[in-house]
Amino acid sequence: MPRAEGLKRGLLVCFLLTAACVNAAQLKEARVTQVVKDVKLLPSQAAPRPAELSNSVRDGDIVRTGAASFSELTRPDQTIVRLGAKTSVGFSDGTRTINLDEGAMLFQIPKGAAAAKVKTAAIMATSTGATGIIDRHARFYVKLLVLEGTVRCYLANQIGESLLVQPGQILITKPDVTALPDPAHFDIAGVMKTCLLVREFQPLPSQPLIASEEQTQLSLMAKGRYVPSNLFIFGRGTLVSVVNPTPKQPPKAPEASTDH
Amino acid sequence: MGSGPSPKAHFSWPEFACVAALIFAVQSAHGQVPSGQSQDTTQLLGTRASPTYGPSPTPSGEAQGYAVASPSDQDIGKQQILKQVAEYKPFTVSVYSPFFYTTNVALVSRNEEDDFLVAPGVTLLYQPQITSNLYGELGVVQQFFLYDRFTELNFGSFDAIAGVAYYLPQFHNLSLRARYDYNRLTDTDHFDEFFVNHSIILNADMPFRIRRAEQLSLGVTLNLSFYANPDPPQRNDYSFYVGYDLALSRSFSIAATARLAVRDYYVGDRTDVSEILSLSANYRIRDSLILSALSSFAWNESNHSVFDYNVANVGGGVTLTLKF
Repeated sequence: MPRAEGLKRGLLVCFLLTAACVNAAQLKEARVTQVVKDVKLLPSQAAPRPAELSNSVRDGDIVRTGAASFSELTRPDQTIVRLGAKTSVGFSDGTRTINLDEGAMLFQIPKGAAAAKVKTAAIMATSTGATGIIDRHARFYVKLLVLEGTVRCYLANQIGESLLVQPGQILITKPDVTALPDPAHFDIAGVMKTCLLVREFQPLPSQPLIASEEQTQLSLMAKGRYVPSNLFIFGRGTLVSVVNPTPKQPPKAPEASTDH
Repeated sequence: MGSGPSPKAHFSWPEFACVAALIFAVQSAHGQVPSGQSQDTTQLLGTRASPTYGPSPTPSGEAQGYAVASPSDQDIGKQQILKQVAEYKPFTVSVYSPFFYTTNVALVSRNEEDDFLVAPGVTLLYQPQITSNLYGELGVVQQFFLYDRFTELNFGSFDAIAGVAYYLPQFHNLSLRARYDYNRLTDTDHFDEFFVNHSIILNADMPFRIRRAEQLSLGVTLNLSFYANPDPPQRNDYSFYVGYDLALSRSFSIAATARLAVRDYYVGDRTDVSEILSLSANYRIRDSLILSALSSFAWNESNHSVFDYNVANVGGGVTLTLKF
């Protein structure tokens, strides 16, 4: 009987160790939670294949979207990454670091989750609780918009080049920048109403926090601390369009104030 | 102490003001405006007496100047640029209490004595924005210098200042300042006046941002006294300085300032040349509350060797600053 008891205990320990290892491996994986049209998964050690729901994405894998295509990836800690069209991202550091090679993505890092990083060219964006959009096109520009929470943006190869990007701030710079510019400000509500990475997906868990930031902005507009300009960036890129007339009051529906 | 200069030749009140000045040199923000001997205290209170003016320029989205090379996809939505209207707060109240160990309390070349001192003070400033680049400045500063062993040297310093500051963003954010300074030194028992000085202070300061967390500053200051009572300590100061600031984190920064000053006294054909090196480390607990480690080292050479001296001051302090 003692031998049988010992065997049972040994099996239990093996089972627990195996479960722990499996769980640890799963914690380092992201899963594909939405696929719209042309989304490809390029595993590091296998042939490219069309991405499907529940596919695992591990370190070294690349996810690539085609024209008019979208995808959503979710980590076990509920960090969400939504990829826009013509976007390519890779993963490292247990999928906690997302390497944006090209395109646009929305990220939502829940408060309490481990810090996640987005790396694009020399620029790093990291947070322990934030929702934002980051957009990069080749060697021409990188654009970061923060919808809620705080994102620390810094240059990996420049000590001291670090700044906090707050909700409602937009940072535009070149990928090979050596000094970060100061961020400007944008209308959160306008982006939330027109961003396909929000509208074409399930509501974000951080939606109430974003709504709270929208209200804060409206309040500041009412106090005159923010003045809506007639300057718009439509979608990706850095082209600023002048739209008349300049709204003098805080817009109830920002998209209605333009005739784009 | 009485209301006149000390009978000891090396213990004149203006010299003690110099001690104070040296002690607080480390706190001097680059571009602060010194004012003679006791007025050095005001100058060296620097960041408290003359906090940075005005907002720094913030680029708006349309001014980034980057080439447009976008696939023009619409998936991240429309971004309407908002113009932030900076809320300028013209009033500043600072309360501070630095403390020091000084190696040469009397600034003498022989028989040096060391001591500890604490120098609590308060600064009230009103800095209205007159135009986009022009700011006015009205303020008062009261500070006490209280020694541990040499209590007979305790004194108070009061300053009333009025001036203007003009910024030229197109020239590296060059700032030009002109200020009238009335300084009155008193004892600490009955506030009896023992020295008063009126001066005009002119300053030009040019910062060079090396990186976001690193800055170099160059500046010149002229401190021209046009009335003093009693006469002998009256002098003009001409100084050049180089400052360096490095933020090691969002809360912790270090700073160094090297200053070369020529002091031309009105009486006695006396001219001094001072070299002052100031080092500080500052930890910001909150936006309004800063803990500092402070040190300064000064070498003074005069055409009258009796006024030569060296001094080192090491200490710390806490500063509470409120803006509204």
